[in-house]
Amino acid sequence: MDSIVVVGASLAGVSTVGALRQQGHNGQVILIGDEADRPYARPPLSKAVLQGTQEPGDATLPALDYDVELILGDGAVELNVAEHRVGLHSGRSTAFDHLVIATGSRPRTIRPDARGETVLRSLRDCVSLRRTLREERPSVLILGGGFLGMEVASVCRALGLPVTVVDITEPLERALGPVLSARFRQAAADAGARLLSTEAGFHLLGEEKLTGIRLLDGTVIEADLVITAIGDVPNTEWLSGSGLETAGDSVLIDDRCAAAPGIYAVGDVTAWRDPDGTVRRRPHYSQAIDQARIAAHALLGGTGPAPRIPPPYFWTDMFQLYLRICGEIPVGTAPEIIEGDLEAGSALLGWKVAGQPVAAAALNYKIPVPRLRNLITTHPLSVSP
Amino acid sequence: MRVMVDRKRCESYGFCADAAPAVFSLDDESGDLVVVDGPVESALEADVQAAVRVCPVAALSVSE
Repeated sequence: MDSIVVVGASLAGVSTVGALRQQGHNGQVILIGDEADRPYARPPLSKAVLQGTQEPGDATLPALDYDVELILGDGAVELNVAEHRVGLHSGRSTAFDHLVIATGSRPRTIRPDARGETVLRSLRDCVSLRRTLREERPSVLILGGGFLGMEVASVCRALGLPVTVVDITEPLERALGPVLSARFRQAAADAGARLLSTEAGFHLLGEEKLTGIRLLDGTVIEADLVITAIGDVPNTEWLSGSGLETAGDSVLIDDRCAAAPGIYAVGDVTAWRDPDGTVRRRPHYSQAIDQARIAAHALLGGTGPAPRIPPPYFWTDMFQLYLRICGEIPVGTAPEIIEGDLEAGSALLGWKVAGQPVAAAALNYKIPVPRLRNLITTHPLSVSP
Repeated sequence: MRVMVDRKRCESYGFCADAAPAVFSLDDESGDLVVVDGPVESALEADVQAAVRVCPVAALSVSE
């Protein structure tokens, strides 16, 4: 029986192990993770667990009751493609017939050495930040107005903490476009969050611990706690020297999630080339699950029906707004209101490119996910009653 | 194997229905999660375990 090694024990890695079993693999799998915590899901870490309405243990993924050798607290530091061998931090090394790379990403920081910066990515980050927010009740400055930064801002307001979000563009505009993001900014402002966009950028204040920022016009914004939420960087340093092709630090994969013969990659660590040559990555929860199915199918020889892959699916929850998105919102394109009223806070939205529906979103709007998907996959933009 | 749903947690994301469509579906009108009655067939147990694992709000569990 061939040996399968999965490096990375988060959702993508764990889902790959599950998908291998679902698709009929009965042999052993080795799952390697650098964190000591049992595998967990990240979505609650910036929402319910951070706020305290759920406990950290609630984020733990159900145990894999398969024949899985789980190695935790020992990260991969080297890949030798020619010898089909992975070297671990402890000095141990593991041979494989098939490898799945699922090492994810880590928070991007402003300073190259991350000195003084507070981030939120891991369960440990979450537990630490949750304790600080609840026990020290700090004023908070969040650098970065993407989904993570704005979700954390929402938690801060729910806890009654003063919070400011600063970005070089309008918060959430890059992800949601001008119209929908404006609705979110309004909800944030209504909840008492202060939002600031400063195109020219800013300087960090504080050395061992950040104390605030100074805008280029001299304005100083100080806070007890400064959180960096400016995106993520794929964890691919351990692959340097392996000869695997990377793009923008991501592992470059094909449409079967293959990076090289016998080597696959899934989740936030991956990128791929669109037919027009553009390198794309999509570090979302649903992608990890979808790629796990594709990679398992390819790894097992691709016999049997290919897994059905739904369009990308993403959600966020902040400031009493609950948004689900299917597809990818085209940047700069205004949505069509299919049902409801954006201002009133409940709406079904659709985006088209060249007349074709490419994205649909439900904002505080109850619709079964399959019907949301149908808006962009099988039907033109319309809702059956 | 039997499936249990924590209805207070379920937000109808639908990942379970993708992982185990023979067991989980979302009601076409209400969007509420629908689970087939009775014990899970042994051939579907791996699918159900996958469904439990991909729920982003840990609303699903199984018992023997």
